[in-house]
Amino acid sequence: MKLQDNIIEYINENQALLNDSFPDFIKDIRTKAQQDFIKKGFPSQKNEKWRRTKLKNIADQYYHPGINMIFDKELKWESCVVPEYDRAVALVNGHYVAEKILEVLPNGIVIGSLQAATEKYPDLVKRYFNKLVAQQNKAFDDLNAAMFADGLFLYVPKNVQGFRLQITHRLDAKIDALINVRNLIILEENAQIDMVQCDDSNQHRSHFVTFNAEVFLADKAKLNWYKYQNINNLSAIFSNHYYEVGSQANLYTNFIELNGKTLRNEQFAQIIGVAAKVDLYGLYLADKLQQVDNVIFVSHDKEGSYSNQKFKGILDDSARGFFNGQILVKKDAQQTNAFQKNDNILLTDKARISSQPFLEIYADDVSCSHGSTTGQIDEDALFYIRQRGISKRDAQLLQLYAFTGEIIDAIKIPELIEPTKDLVKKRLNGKLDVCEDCILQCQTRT
Amino acid sequence: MQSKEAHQDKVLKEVTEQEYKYGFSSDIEMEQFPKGLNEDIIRKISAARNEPDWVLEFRLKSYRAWVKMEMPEWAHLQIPEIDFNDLIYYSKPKPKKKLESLDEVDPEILEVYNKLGIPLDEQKALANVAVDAVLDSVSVKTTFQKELKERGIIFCPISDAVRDYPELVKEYLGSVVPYSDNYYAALNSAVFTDGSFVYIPKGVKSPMELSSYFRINSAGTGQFERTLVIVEEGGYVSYLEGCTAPQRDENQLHAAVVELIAKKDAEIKYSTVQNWYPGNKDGKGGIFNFVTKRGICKGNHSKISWTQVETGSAITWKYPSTILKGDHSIAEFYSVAVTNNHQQADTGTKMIHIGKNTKSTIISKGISAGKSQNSYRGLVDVKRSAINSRNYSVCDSLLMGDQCGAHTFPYIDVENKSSVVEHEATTSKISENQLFYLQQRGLDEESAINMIVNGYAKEVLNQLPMEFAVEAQKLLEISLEGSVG
Repeated sequence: MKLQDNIIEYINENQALLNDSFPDFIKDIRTKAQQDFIKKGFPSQKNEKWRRTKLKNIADQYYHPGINMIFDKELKWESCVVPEYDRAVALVNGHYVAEKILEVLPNGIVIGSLQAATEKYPDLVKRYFNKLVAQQNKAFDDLNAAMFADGLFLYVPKNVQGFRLQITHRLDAKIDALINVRNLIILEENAQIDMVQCDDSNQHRSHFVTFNAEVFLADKAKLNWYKYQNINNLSAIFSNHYYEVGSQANLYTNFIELNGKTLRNEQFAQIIGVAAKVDLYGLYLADKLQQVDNVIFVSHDKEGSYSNQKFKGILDDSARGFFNGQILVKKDAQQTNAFQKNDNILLTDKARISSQPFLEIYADDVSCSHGSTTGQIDEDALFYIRQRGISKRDAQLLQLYAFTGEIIDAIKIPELIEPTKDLVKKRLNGKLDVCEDCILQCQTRT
Repeated sequence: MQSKEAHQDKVLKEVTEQEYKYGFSSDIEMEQFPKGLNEDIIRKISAARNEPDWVLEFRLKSYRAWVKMEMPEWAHLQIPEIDFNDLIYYSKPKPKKKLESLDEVDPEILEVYNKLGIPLDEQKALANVAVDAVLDSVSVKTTFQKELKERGIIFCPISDAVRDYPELVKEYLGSVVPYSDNYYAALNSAVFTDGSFVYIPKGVKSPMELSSYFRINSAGTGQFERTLVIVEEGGYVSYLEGCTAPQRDENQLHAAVVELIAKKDAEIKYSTVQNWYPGNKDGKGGIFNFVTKRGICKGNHSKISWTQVETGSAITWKYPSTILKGDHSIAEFYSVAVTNNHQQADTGTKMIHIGKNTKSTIISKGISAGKSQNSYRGLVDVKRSAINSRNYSVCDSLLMGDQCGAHTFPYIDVENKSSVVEHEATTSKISENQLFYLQQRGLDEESAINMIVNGYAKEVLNQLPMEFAVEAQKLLEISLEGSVG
């Protein structure tokens, strides 16, 4: 694949540029990742988790491999302000962009560029960085570690609660480019934050993005993470999320996947404490030749935890969807309650869905279930609505919109519910374009 | 509470430590080939069986494909290394003389069957079952040939079929499971020695259930049966396959291939009770069961139904599948898989929907106890052409004890908008409320658990023919009653 060859060539030729701006402990990880990537390359079609994804189509074109290694000082980003947010920051082409590159807020929260944090807080970063990635080492982890320049660093101290952060993750390269973003998020005991992330792009450039996030939730910590992905139909984002969940901690994510050539979200949650709660929600709406993948893995290591995965999708035109969800209940994880549900609607005969809800259970006192359905709009209900004088198209849209309700209703921030509903309605209507600005502002603008 | 737990432990121990009841071996003279697998051995097997050239060609072609293949590793199984050159690929009881009646059957062989409780005599006749008994590799005795013959039904060892009906065998052998399908299917295609051949002519409904008991007898012998069932337009057959094997310390390999072909309006019901030696309670010995079973609903409105009760074998790797090619065809898969001690099972089904308005149902019940690992792995693949198709799958797992594992790996691919596919699965242990309720009514714990497990598996057991249902229920009781941790 063209991109793979370009990256390997770039790694071999730009060792100094790639590695010199980082302290030794990161340099070590990077050089190893570079070697591993050169050895292993992109995931092959033989890999069960990649069989349904047309990676070759995307990776066979030219992307500039080194664009995010060159920091463009002109990069500026004015984030739109959604009410009730304490801080809005941006990641532009893999770089953290804000007034201050790294700051400590009055409540003790440290927020800023990961690259800057490795210099200022090397001990803290060292304790966490790459810990979860090294355990799993999924596809694109090597590439990400080998090539990233920057990303978000967030540290929330003990007992700090009620902080809301808005992140605009913006793809705005002037030429087609590979972009790698690396994030590290640490929540100390009993800390709590909300994060709202929007993945946006410009209209006309292809971006090949790897987005890696390692998230540490200490005991009783709570994270709510909302993500809206709406990028142009030339770009692809491969996101790997790793969560370490402590005792009585609470992880909640809700990812709304709206547009993009390929959107892949892998989430790996490892519950290492007792009585933790993990809720993962996802909604994917794809049409044309789009591909949406959700790969979920929840590992219950200790007893008494609860996890729930709920993913719903609507696939139109020639879109392809892939869902692979796995619950692992280890031997010591007695009294686990774990659930998983994947529902899909196919609107055409060219759309495809592949759903793989897996359970792997080694403890006996558990209650686990999963379900998967694939179907279409209920003809009877359609008829009923049309009888009331509503056009076929509107009746269909009503039904599809109702189908998405389960995910939207799970949103816990009241200010987000209306914009999300609006986005989904527009998307179902085919009227949602790539946002030049933060998509959550769309409502106020139109 | 403490004493209850102690009691449960005791019951669990008693039941799970129960030795394999059917463990014995009989000393019947065996004619054997040297160990190992190569083209010479294959030529020898073929020559010993007086096979026509095209069968030898098929075997050699398969062998050459097999040599290039690798053992599949995707299953959730820990398979010890198998030295395929350390196995004997052909053995048969030495022919004494042609048998006229049951009295002339080797009394030792009869004794084996009697110990297993398989009536190969008048009882079976009364039960209206024709038996094709396979002891190791060659059929010993076939009954009811005559009555079946009158209706034009062919039911014979596949070796006879190769000789007597070469056109039929040539047309269908390898048509559903190609020789290059997978590692074990290729191995089987190279060295298969026996198995059954069933042919039901147009419009004929088999008057009795056809049954074949497979036995693995000689130590170190792999058994590679090949079963071919062809049902012509409008025909019907119910085929029973049941197995028990004597206790051996050495792992034995079993790699069978079963092919079913259902033409227009035809129906095949294929039932299996598998109770081979699962190894002792320390996980020593036991049979490796790597089977490829596949049927094709070739014609419109045809139906294939698989029912299996899997309690034996140290390792089971088995996915009875159906290709729904004809429009309006129907496929069913009912399975109870029980694992105990160190047994491992990775079993399930594949439903490939190609024709329009096709329907499939999957009901899988897994029960794991001891230190066993029990996985369901199933594929539902609805192709673009399979408009208005329907699949419904339920996979439930029951865990007994905290040392075992129960896993579910469904794969669902849908490529059109008019089909509906539903899958649901649950995993839990025996409900303490149910147990408490039954014990309140005066049942002791063992009977209570027995009752719950039987109820749990009922949906599948109900699909079995009468004779099998009784046997299967007995097997479940032996394997499971009281196994709560």
